[in-house]
Amino acid sequence: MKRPNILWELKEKSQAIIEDLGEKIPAKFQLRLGELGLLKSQPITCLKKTPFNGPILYQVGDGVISLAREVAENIYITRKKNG
Amino acid sequence: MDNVLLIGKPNSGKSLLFNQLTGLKQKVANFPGVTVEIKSGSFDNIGLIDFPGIYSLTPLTKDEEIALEKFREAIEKNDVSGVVCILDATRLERSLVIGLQTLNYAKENNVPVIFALNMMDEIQANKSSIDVNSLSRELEVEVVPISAKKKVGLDILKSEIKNMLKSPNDYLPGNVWKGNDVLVKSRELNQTYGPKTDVILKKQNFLDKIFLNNFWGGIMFALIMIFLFQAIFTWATPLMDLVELTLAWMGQVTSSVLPDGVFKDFINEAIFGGVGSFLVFVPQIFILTFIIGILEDSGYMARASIICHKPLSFFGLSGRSFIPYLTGHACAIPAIFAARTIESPKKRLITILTIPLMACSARLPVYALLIAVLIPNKTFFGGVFGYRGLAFFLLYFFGLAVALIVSGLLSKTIKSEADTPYIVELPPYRMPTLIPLVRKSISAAWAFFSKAGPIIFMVTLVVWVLGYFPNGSGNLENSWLSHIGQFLEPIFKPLGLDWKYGVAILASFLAREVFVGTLGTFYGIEGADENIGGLSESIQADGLLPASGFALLVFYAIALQCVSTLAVLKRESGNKMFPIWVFVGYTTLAYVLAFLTYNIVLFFS
Repeated sequence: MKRPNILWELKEKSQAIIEDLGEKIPAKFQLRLGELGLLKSQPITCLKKTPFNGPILYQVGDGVISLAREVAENIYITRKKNG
Repeated sequence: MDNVLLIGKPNSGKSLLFNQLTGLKQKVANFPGVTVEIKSGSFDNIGLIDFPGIYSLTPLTKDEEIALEKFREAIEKNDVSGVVCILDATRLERSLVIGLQTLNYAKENNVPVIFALNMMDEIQANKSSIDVNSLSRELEVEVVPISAKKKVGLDILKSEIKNMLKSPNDYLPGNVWKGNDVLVKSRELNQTYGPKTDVILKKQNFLDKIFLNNFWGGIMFALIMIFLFQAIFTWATPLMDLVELTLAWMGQVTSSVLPDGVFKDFINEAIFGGVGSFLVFVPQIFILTFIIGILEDSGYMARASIICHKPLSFFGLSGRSFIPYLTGHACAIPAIFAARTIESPKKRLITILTIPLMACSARLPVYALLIAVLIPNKTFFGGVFGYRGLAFFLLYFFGLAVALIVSGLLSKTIKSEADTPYIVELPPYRMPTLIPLVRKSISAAWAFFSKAGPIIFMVTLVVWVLGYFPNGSGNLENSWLSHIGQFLEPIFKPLGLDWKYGVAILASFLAREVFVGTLGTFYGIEGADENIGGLSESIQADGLLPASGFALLVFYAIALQCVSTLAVLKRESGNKMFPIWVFVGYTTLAYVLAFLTYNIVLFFS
């Protein structure tokens, strides 16, 4: 099986489509991520990575959120051509 | 009086709107036992209740849980005749999530709702627009475009609120969405009627490139922190001098009026010498709260938390621990409450247990006094930075370093289930508004004064009586207090401190700032008519060893001498034993490190 693309590996300034939120993210937390704009089949852009694998900045919907590695590693995406 | 409730997401300008609508007619109620700040005020005989900002009606963190509980209680008890939901026009999608959830909840409870669409000035400044009429038609809710900052649309909002109270049925929600539909609908509405996201986010993303830049971001963070500590010490001096001069002048006036005797001595030594020497520090608390407020309102705090996340997680903490830690430099109590925003229970507990090591404002008077005794008042870099400011910075750093080490150890020992991960929404960068900030800082300074004041007065009174009698002013050596102190001297001798410091340290276990007042009273009694401002000079003249001075600094940096903090720790950690362990642990650590410091400094000097 092909290894799925994960959000954590999305390059700076590239866009992708959110496929799914992994099971490792607790249900309560999945809901909040949705409320912050992380919805299935919607676009997400990586704005800025921080040094030493710190939290990454993403633009979703009309907001900007910052996710730590343990979250971004469990979000699956489909990359666009330039990703 | 009809009550109207304000609700909305954080950073939607809710507090400013509340201020604009109610003016001076407002009060902050800390509900007993919960300390979620709920402000109430009124305009035109309509009561307005301001709830803390929330992202959703489904809580994730402890603070949201408590705020929502209060919100539901107010609605379900029928205390509320209507709800005003504030939307941030620059974050329409995010705001509509809580907006649509509110509509659904209000419909279930038969409560009328108005949407106030705030920040319209920013939309215009970006040459963008929102189709307010279509939005209102599709939602079947009255949407009032406003700018709380520029005071635009507030009269229309007021008259809509009045109409809503007059004919509530016209304002009951029609269309409602539930569950996941809320999220989808919010996005759809924003895409159809909202502003162009890329235009709105352009400035923010540009500034983030600077403030979160791998190199410059770190430098700015360091500069902002240095600025904060310099402001507290070096730049607060003129204000502090003013308080000191005023007190000295008042002291002179009263002593010239009063006849000689016990009463005059009491006023001079206990009131102006003891209580007065602590009043001097109120300006510093004001400035600290003010600057922390600027950082919060400007949106920088969220960026700082991102910068700190990685280093803090190395010690078992979260980036969200940064805000409680920084607040802890003002006071441990609000800081322990601020820790409620930490999503992970384990990290929250570790943060709570280590907050008491932050150099809080009650340590400030002690540090300021000892630094004035030990460090010369000289500047470098052309007078911009002072050695005393630097010493302050190092002390703050010392407290933080100890806290991080303790956190690291705790995170290895405390067991927990799967952890809740780190996620932060980045608010827009905004210019803070002055009036609410000043108001907040005044209330913080007042809270410090009114909470610590009575304790300080009582302790000062007891110390003064014991030190004054039986022989009166100038005979401290033969007083009752001297006998008590000499009995206790063996405990403090290993730190090179005489009985006077021993008594001051013991008295300060109630509240650490008592230390300064107690010493002030001592030297007041001893020196009789000396000037009040010169406590540090009196201590220098008395010949405090530098080694003992540094030992005292280390002791005060670590010891948990605050009854209120212990009480709050007990409640927030949900464990009766935690405060006892923490108290015993930090006191022992403080004494041992102070002992080492004394001997090391003695060895090298």
